[in-house]
Amino acid sequence: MPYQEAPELVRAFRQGDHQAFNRLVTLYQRKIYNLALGYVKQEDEAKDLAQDIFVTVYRQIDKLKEESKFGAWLYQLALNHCRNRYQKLRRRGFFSNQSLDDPETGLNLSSGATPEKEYERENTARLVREAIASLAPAEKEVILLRDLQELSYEEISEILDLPMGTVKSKLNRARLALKNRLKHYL
Amino acid sequence: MQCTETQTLFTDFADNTLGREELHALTDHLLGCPTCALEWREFQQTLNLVHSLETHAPPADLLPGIHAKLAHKGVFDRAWALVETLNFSLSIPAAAAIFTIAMLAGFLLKTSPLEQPNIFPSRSAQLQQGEVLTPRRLPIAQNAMFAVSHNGGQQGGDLVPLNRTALATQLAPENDAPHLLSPDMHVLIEHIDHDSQVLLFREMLDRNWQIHRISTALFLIHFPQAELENFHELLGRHHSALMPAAAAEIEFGRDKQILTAALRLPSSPFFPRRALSWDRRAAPLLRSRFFLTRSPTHRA
Repeated sequence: MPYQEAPELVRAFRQGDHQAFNRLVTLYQRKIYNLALGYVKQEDEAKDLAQDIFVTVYRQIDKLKEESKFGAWLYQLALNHCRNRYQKLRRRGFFSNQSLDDPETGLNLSSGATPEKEYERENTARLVREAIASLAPAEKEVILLRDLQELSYEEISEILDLPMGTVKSKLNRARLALKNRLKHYL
Repeated sequence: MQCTETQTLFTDFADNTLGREELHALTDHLLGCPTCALEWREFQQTLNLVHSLETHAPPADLLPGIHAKLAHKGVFDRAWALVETLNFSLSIPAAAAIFTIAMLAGFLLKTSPLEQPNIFPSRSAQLQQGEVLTPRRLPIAQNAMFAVSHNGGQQGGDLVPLNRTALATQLAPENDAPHLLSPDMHVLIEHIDHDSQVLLFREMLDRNWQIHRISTALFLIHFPQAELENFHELLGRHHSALMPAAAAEIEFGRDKQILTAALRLPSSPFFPRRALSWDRRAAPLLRSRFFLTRSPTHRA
């Protein structure tokens, strides 16, 4: 597992190896970028948010107590950034300018797919993402961590500092809420 | 099992983490309840949709952008980084000590006998004839009177005299430019009680001397040179210091009709104001301020 090398990279980075920081970014950038995208829904904003998260990692790496807990620490830090950015953007009316009818990305035709099917697939994905984004912050968070980031209950429990049972019940409620939002599409 | 109970088990059912009894109870209920069965199918479809979402590839310039942001630190970031580098920490007593030292240094600097920069050079040159200006800082070196009080009325050799402003007696008669009105003498009264102060001012007003209040503890007294001896007599009732020493002689300022004395009293923010307010005739004096003007009446 590539994430198993994270503690070693953190140790090297703390000792002044800046290449180790680059490798950490490369290792986690996909997850962090998609987490950010799940919050702000806009690619440029997500990129800026993900960069800010890694800048904070760079500056505050000394605050990490256990190198083996880097993943959880990174997600905690990322969630704080995402929450703050989400609130800030919402106050500015950023999300009210985005409509379900506005495709965020153009069609990306894979080999063998017809434009109609590809459009339907993209449209479905966009609707699901919109539905996730419309959830309450706590519900959205647990869906993103479990169903999109594919973290274990134990990891989520550590990141959110909640008992595992609470995480499961929150996740169940969030999934039910998401199901109700997508009911007309199912 | 009730319908309301089934939905709470959907996630565990999907994760296959239900115990045997709960599993049997749930499956039996779903087989017999079309509504809950539909809910379960929709729940599964929702999960399938969510799990089918593809993650987006991060933009190629994500890492370079991070380096760019790290290189471009803001002012606050730099200051904070410096503080962190210094591992700066202060206890409350240490911070209080530094604050006290800073305040003391400021006080000493302000009261320094060394020459201070002229604060009204350009403004005074622009003054029109007769224009009145209220300076923010008194043109009298405040340390001057303290200096003589510690030196038996003699100005110490290590002290710089009032060279920032010329004495009124030294002004050239032909000099029509506005000049800083400067007292001819300085008087410091170290101890005076309320009643004595009221009495002192009343006697001065009875003699038709002019009193200008500069601050709560500093006054300018204008009186005829011919009454210099009376002025000495009034001061003689108190523990006072006089500068220059020549002002102790009744011949002092013979070339002038009016002499001006700066009178400093013990600092008390309320005492002088009360003393003057008590006397109705003195009330208008409270509104007077030290001024920068041509004062031909002060010349002989």
